[in-house]
Amino acid sequence: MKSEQELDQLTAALPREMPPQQDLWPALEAQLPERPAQKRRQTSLDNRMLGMAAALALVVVVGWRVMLVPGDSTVPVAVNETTMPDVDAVPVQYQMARQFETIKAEQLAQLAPRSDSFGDWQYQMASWDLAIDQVSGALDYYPNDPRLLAQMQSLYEQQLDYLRLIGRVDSTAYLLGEEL
Amino acid sequence: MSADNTTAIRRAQEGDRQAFHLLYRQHIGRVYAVCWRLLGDRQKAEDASQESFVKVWQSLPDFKGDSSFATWLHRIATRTAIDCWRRDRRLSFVEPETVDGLAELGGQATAADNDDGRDLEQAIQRLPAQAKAVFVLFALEGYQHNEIANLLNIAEGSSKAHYHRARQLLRGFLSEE
Repeated sequence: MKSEQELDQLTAALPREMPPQQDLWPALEAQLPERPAQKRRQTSLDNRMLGMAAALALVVVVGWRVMLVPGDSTVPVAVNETTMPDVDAVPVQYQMARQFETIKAEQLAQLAPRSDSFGDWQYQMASWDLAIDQVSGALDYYPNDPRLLAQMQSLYEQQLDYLRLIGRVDSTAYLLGEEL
Repeated sequence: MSADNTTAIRRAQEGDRQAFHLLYRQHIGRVYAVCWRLLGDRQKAEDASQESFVKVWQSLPDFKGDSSFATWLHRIATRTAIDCWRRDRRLSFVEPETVDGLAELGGQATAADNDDGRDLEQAIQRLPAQAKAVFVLFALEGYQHNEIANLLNIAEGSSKAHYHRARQLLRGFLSEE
């Protein structure tokens, strides 16, 4: 029988490393899942890109309205480098809200005191405000979600179109039978 | 830990598969060794090794460097091999040709040592399952009996008893013709 010392020597001499007979890497690499952290990073990147795209689209839409749509030319919307919000610092929904709320406030200020032709138009505006608040609240949970941003933009645009229509009626064009 | 290694770990944590391949190449030998010795089967050892590295890949973002990377990785591999061993716990004998192949592949020692080493590897695989696991973990992987007790869900005293029994059996196996 081998002695205890011989067994210890044999054990100590055994190699601690043993390469497999075949390279396991190709099969192993195929099994490596995408990490959640990678997914988060990728999603974050996607959202950031989408957010920047949405901000750019907003600038284009506002610029188009200011430059091409009659009646909007009185709305002083300044979109230049000095007033461009920092997209990294301010969430896109707040940038969007700030832009649209500015336009909306100015359009509201230009409305004549009477707008009876539209009935309770303020109730209609409040309904949109409520919807915008709800979408904005959802965006707090899902920042830069492209569908929510598009929904928010659509609601604001509906409000502005509606205000513009009220303004034209107030200018009596509608009552005179002219096409709006 | 070298600067290259640190960089490879950091890049692998960020999802760089090439960096992870480098870490794989550095550690596969030790991972495969513990898997093979515990499982006594090439295919099972390969599967367990792959499973270990998948777990390492998944856990890498949580690696904070509290212990050395090699220690951390090897503990994951050991636990994975033990899980496989537990699923497949039985007294197994390895075909002599497999052990021959193993000795050739693992041979870092001299030719004379290879013969003895081959005999010892074969003898280890002839041990009863628990005794083999305890011997491999204590004598070859450097775990303490309290750690082995936790890993194998046995009492610390049982771990010591299995180890002494393993040594007795090995001395007997190695003295056979």
